[in-house]
Amino acid sequence: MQLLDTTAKVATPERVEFRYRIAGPAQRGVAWLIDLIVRFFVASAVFLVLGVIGAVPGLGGASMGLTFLFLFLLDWFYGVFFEAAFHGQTPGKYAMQLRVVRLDGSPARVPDVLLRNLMRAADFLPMFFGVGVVVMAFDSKLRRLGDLVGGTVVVAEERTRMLQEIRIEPPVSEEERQGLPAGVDLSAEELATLEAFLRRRDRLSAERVEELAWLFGPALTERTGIEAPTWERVLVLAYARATGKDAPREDLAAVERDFGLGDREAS
Amino acid sequence: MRVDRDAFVGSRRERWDRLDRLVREAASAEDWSRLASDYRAVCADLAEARAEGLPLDVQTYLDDLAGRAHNQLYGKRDGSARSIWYEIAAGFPRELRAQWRFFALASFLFYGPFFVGAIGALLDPTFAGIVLPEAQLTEMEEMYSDSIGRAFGGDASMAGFYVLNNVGIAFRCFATGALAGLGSVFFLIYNGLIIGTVFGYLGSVGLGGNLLEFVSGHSAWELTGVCVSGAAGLRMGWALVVTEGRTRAGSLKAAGPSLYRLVLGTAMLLVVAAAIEGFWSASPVPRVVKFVFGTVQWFIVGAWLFFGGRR
Repeated sequence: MQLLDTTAKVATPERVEFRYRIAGPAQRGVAWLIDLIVRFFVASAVFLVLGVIGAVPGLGGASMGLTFLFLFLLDWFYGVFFEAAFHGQTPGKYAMQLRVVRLDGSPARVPDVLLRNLMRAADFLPMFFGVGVVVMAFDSKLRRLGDLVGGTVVVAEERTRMLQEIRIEPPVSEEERQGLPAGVDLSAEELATLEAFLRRRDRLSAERVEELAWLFGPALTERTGIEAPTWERVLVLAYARATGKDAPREDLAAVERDFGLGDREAS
Repeated sequence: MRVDRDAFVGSRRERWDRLDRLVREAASAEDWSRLASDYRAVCADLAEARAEGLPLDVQTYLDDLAGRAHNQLYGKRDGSARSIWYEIAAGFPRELRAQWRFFALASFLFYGPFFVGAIGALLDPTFAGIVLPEAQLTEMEEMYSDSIGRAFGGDASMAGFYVLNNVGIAFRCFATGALAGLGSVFFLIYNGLIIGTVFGYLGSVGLGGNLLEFVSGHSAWELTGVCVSGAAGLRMGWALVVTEGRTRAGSLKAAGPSLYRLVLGTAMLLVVAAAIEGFWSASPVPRVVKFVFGTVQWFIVGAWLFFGGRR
């Protein structure tokens, strides 16, 4: 099954290719706002300390100078420092589970993050990342100018959670089981589609569920001979039979125990 | 026979959970070696999950897990302070010579308007009033009317301000070069014209000596720094427009290493300029000494840019 094109493929030395999800402007915007707040508090704290130092006679000038210098560093090198020192993550990106990586997925290096952060001055124009957002809109990897020049891309690293195992609810009754064919032959893609359907149906209205099931149900009935009062049930039964989940509950419980899945709380 | 999801997940779950934990909190050497081997195992799991067509949620989960482990494992690399110093000392001048056309163009765009402004203001008393508001001219006049040593509190506060202001302008001059070079062109012409006009105006009211005394020490570093930042911006704008068969994104990326060195050079030139401007230029050192010092600076900058990084 082909994923949507908001992913970037990465080849590793382990000869396995994995995919990153590319971060969108909204996530990045929030990360930027968080960084703005962090910067505000850091600046406040440092100004407080420098202000106290500046009150000492003779140190006023040095305090002012350091204040300017600090403002400069905060303005231009906040991102450079964090992204270089913390694996491509500023505090805002960490909070949003975003990360700056190179195009090939390898970690961003100092030159990359320096360029992408200085380029923010251009991306920000004319205000609030106007240029950056337009450039992102035209780029398949949602890169702003800084990313293009730095050769970087911002990826979303959400820790996805394994979905709960699909339970056949209500369970396949004895009556239904007898009406099922000996085997249901489904392609991997068809199975994946059925799974996606079964996972989502709880969140949809009954009418919508039936509407969706109707898209596949008649074809399934024709192919397998499975019949049920609703198209939804046809899909459920076909899936259950194809995966062996139409067995009585007690058997399933035993399977779960054997594989240590029984005590796993669905996350 | 299709691999059963439950069996697949069940037999590997422990390892995945452990890797997930290690990615977040690996500390000891044992943790890291564990992380490395678990990562490789998970890569294999991912390959198998794909080959066997396991459900999408398993594949996505492994994708993310492997991705995070990969980033953690292949994390730190280069960027050591030493390599940055090498890039500034040798890489930057070498790069600037390789990109001399952009440097020449940037210098022309800066010094051209500079001389237009200076000569215009010297010859025509109304010229300066067209370029700059009267209030600012009066302010300039007052600033340079006293002998330098007293008019400026030459100290750390000014040095800090010059870093914030001047390096910031230079960085903007570079970054806006991405707009097909137009931003850099604007910054170069604008700053050249303003600075030139101030020179001409103060010269015309008889304060040229004070101004020259003040700027002589840091002029070499500052003016060169502005031109280098412009050259970097123009180089970037060029890469965007003339792609030489690459995509625009690819062309910009290819220019990256070159831009990195030029930007490092810009920062170095302007930070030194700020230090001199803050601590030396306004100090009560005799004027002659300042002129000699300033001349020496031009030779130092010139030698660095011309000989730096040559074998």
